[in-house]
Amino acid sequence: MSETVPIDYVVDDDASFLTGISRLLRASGFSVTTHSSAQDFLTQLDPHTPGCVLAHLQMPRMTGLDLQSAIARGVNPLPILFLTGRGDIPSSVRAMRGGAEDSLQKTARVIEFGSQRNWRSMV
Amino acid sequence: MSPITILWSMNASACLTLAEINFLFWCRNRKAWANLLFFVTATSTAAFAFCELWMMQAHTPGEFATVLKWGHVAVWSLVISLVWFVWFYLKAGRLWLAWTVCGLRTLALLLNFLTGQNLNYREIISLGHIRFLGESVAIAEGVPNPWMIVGHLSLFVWLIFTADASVSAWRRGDRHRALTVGGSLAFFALISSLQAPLVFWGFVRMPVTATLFFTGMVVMMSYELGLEMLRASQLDNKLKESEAGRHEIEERMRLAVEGAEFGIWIRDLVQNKIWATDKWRKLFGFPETERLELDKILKRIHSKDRDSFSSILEKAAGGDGSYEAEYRVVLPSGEMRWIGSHGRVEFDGSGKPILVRGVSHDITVRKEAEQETQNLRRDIAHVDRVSMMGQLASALAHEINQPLGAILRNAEAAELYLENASPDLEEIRAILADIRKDDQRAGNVIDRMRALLKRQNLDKRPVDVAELVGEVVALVGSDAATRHVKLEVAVTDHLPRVRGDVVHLQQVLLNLIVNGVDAIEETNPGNRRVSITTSLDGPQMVEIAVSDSGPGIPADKLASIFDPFFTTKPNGMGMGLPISRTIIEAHGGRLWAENRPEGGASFRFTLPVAEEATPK
Repeated sequence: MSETVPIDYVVDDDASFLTGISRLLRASGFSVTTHSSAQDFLTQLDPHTPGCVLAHLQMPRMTGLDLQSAIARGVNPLPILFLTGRGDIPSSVRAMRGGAEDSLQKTARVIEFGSQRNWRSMV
Repeated sequence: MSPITILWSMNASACLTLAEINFLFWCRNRKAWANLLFFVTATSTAAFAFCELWMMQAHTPGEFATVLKWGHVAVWSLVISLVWFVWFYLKAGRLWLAWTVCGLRTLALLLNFLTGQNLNYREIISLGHIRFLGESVAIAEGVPNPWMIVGHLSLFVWLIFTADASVSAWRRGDRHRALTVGGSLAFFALISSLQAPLVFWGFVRMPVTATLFFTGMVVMMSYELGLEMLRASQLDNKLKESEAGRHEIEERMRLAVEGAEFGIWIRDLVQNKIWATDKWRKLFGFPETERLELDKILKRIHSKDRDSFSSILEKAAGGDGSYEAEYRVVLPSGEMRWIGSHGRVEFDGSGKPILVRGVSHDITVRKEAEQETQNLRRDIAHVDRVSMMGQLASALAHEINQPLGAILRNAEAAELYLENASPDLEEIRAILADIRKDDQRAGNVIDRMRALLKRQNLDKRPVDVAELVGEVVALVGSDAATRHVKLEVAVTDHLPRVRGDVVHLQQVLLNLIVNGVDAIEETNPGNRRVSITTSLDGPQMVEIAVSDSGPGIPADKLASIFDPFFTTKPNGMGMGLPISRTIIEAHGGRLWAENRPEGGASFRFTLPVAEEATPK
């Protein structure tokens, strides 16, 4: 089994945010793929590539929570980190119960953001 | 007295009586030429009856000859009056024949005085006596005057003229008159024109009895004229009755019009005169004596309504003729009232308008109530929107967090790039451009929210539908393209402009197109289409439809999609469609949704055509 580079999968329906966050992650030295919807991500997911998912919680049709359960049922149960536009506590609670690593506000400070990315070393 | 004297005298007096009646009738009604001609005929018959009676009782040939000579004057006036009676009464006959009869008879009269003892005899030599009706009467014996043939000829032509006129009248369908007048005249003309030559040329020994035949004509003519006079009097009675009826109808109309507070006006386009009821004058503030002119009336109409009223009148004259209008009238006192009027234009045979009739009434109370309702509705809508503020604030936070988040990540990325020894300036420039774009996006969100909360009046102007669609499609075009949705626009050519607030209409159209694009994302990539089509919905409305190739609206949701807060989008507020509908209804149009038979949903709305003065 060849050494594969872990990938950050960013899933967000907002194109601007997608560009911004992928720039930040790349500048921080991560490999990034971007997906404008949960469906798009699921069809392109390689079953063997490690990594983590950064998903927007509130997306049209298939939401972040829907994506979470789809990943959990799949062959490549990647860890998932949620991004929210507003502090939606009930959704965040459900996300955490569903096994999310954490849920972060999109406007969270970079330090906070960076520290939450540390779990990746555990993979 | 002898029977002959009695018979001829009775004949003569009967004729004179009938003559008198018809003469009096003519005096009252100078256009009754048939009655005047009858008077001449009957008088001439009476005169000739006396001549005949005299001749039958003559004592000397000279006396006989003289009476016969003067008798021809009566015959002349009789024939001439009969010719013209037929002409006037039957309204038929050949004019040249009529003049021929008159000419020949006048010639005969001249010959009567210029040749021989009279027209019939060159010389009466003796008188014979025969038994006639039980008594002895005188008959002439002498040399016939050959010029007599002119007299016979005139009677013969007269016979032809009368027969011809009767046939014409018969063919025309005037059978009764043709038979009674034409037929009887022709019959008696035939007998008298047969008897005269037989007697005067000496073939038959009998007195001349033309009076009997002439009286026959007079009786038939009198019978006809009597019927005519009877009919006239019946007609007169009927006319009086119908006039009474008309008066009654007018009275009822007047009551109805007064009761309904209607003002009526009539404009005669040919004589350029305007007539109006007192009520109408009161409505428009014109004193009862003032002469009405269109310019003066138009000046009373509120300046904002004047042009549209004029164009409505013009349209009515060019179209089916009827019009309906509501406008404000400003009285000289400064008082303003709303008038509702409807009317009809009358055209002549060639389609040229000749008359306009209109009914106007005061609709101020109704209009004020409508205005109040509208204000109330606007207030309620405003309250609704204010109570939604909590929802909006939450939505606002989300909407703004999106661009703010993107700005933050971009800024952080840029900082990291700048820590490099040789920073990628291209990338940093791109980041800065994105930051500016997201900043504007956040600003737009705030502007939109502010516009929504602000109580706005619609600024309605004529809007070009093609331009409206074009601008909105340009706005969402790039977004649709990145989502692989094809926008198809099919705008009908020469569509009239609609009346509306362009900013609000853009908002509605934008909302519908974005909804369509959102709905489509689940369908297969090969068939991602949103089409915007326009059409004319009757002469007064334009319909704009936004249809998508998405999954359509579930049947159980179709009824509730326009309810506030109804949404199928996780982040939707459920406000787009209700607000869109409110906007369209404030424009006087409708907005509804339906599923297309070929799949996908279709949102349609109508807008009223702008009333624009038609270019002349």
